[in-house]
Amino acid sequence: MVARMKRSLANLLVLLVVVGLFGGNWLVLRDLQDIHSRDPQPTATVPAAESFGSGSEVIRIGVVSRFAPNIIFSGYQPVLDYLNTNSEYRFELRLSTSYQDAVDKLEQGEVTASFLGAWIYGHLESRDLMPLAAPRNAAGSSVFHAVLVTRADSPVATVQDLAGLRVALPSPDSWSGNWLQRRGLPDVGLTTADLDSLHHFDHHQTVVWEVLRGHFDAGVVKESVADRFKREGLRQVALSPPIPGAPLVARRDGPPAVLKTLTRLLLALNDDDPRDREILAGWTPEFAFGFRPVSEADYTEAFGTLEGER
Amino acid sequence: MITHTGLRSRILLTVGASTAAIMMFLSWGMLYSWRNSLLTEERATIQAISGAFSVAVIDALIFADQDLYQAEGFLDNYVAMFMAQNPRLTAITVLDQTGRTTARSWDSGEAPWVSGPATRVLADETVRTTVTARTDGRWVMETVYPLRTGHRSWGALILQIEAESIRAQIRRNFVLLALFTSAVTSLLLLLLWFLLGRLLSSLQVLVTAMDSVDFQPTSGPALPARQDEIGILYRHFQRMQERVDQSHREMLRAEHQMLHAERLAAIGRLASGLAHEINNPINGVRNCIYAIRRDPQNAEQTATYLDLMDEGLTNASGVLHKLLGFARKQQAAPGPIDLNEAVRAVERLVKFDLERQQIRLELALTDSLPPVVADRQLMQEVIMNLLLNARDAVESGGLIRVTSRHAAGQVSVAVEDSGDGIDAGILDRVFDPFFTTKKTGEGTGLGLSICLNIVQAAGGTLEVASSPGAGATFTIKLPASPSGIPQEDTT
Repeated sequence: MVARMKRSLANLLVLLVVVGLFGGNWLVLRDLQDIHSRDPQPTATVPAAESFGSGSEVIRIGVVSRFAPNIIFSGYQPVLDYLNTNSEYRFELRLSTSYQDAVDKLEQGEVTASFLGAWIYGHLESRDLMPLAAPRNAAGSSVFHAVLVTRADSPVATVQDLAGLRVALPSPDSWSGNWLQRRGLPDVGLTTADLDSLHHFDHHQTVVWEVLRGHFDAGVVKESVADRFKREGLRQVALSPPIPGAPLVARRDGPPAVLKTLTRLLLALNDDDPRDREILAGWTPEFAFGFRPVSEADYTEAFGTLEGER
Repeated sequence: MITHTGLRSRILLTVGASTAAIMMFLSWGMLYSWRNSLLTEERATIQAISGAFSVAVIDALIFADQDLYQAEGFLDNYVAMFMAQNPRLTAITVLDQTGRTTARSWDSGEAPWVSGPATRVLADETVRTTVTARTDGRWVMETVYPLRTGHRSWGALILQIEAESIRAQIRRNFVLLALFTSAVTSLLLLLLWFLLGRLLSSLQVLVTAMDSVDFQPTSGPALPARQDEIGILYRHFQRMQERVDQSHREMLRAEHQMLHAERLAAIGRLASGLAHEINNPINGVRNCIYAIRRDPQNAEQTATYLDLMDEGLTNASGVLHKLLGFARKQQAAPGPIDLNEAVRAVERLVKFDLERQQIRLELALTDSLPPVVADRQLMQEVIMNLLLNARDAVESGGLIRVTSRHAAGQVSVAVEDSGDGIDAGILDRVFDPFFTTKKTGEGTGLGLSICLNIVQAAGGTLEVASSPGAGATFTIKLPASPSGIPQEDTT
């Protein structure tokens, strides 16, 4: 009797094990294959205005086309985000197809202010535009340099070595696109005729890539761009004399409240202040030390110096 | 189906169930962990693809937003080419900053999120990836990738890849792991079955050896020499067997000595009767010598008396011879014996004593009693003990009756006395060693215990029946020897 009960229990146990094995595995396989996400689907609709800023009045800010559009946005949008966050305006970037187009848009009132190049601003004949601020460098001033660069393995060591070589330059409306032929070469007794070739590109990065690819023996770019590509094998050969930084320019008859707000906010940033430093840390290296006030005279003086040597 | 619950079955069932359960839970844990890793990897992949794809899409959206020149249908073409290069992609949708679909794949069938002009755009900057089953039953993994530059939103990119291959991979791994688990478990059980078989066969050897032990020296098969735990068990068993043998030998020796002592005790109990039996002829001889000395010339008388002296001395010598024969230590030598003859031999020893005490001894012996296989000397000793006990139980003028019978293949000898009988309270203790109702010094208490051992050793039984005031009957029953069984009678 006891033995029969034991056998029955054993058989029941075997049955339970078998059922458990098959049933458990079937349930687990079913659950394993259910890869449905447990998180709710993202269904929120973002109001269009939110992506532009919190304010209601749209203020368009122009930028010269010294970089490709996406690079311009990644560099300048954080500055505009800062302005949007701290003002009642909604600042938007407005790109231009060329340096001159940026000036035209400003003069025509299509944009309220514009980040122009030092060269194009200094070259303007119209006196209706005024500089509001320019990027500050690490030393606290607003001067920068154009830099003659080559590949790290290039034999070029001085400007004189450029004789017979191919040279790439950025826009002819930029300081970097003019310094070499107007000042750099003459200073060592060369002219553009001594070069193999001289070619202008739209953007500073394009100049760097062309040099690094070996399509050109040397090039001239902004100091900030030259610094950024040091690790990629770009060697700096020579520096231009100090150049005033690329200014944020506005029409003299622009909306005073907007211009005042714009100037106040940009000049308020102090890289010695930890909170401001936190903001500046997310910006492109060109604006990493904030802005400082500049005057029209800074540019006419520098432009006159360069032109006087022409 | 389990038809018996042996040790092997129980161990196999327990270990098999435990192993299967453990392996199963481990496998499940591994499968869930592996599935999560796979999904994480797939999510990272689709997010990386989305990130790479978003760079060009943002560029295109910037160009469109800034009214800069770009080729007609650039984004649609880009989406189509990207789809063509990535077979796992099932759909791509690009939403602009207002939530409007600005580009999408057209050969992907269902694209549920483009059902209206303002559809899903992320409220925050988080890249979200979800897995869902579409209405057509196909599983897809979908990523909503916000297109942003700083705080500026350009819209969102929605990429969808098929997720059926993920499920197929999960199924495949499940089956592989299940097969592996089953194989490992089966192998383990097979190995266990084999090892248990070896262990149990080793134990079976020991069981056989234990069964064959019959308390005879060097009995049983020799166990094989082993160096493992079973070997230790074997060695301990053999040592135990040696100790048992030793104890058995000592017990036999003690039993032999007790037997001899009891025999001497029986002789002591006979001594007074025997002394009288010897004294009578000696006195007769002394009378004859006295008569011959008084009339030495009477040759006729001398001759007559010499014959009487010879007869008397022969009788005394016969008594002593019988006594010596009874007392002599002899090796047990079982053989066919006639119990009637054994009874008569004992009767000759005790009759003097019984006659002296005026106790009547009646023999009712069945003729042609078949022989039994036993040691003659020992059987006589048993009968002697029973007769002496009966003598002690009856008073002068009492009766002792010895009856032999043959029935149902058994030969029995019953010694019945007319004494007071044995109390019912001690009847079941009379065969216990050292149990006696006699006074100190009159009995060892071993007689009946030894008788019982002797009869049992010969394959028989010794029974007692008694009721107070009606005497007691001790019955020896022994199997008749097959070689000499005559017709049964019930005399």
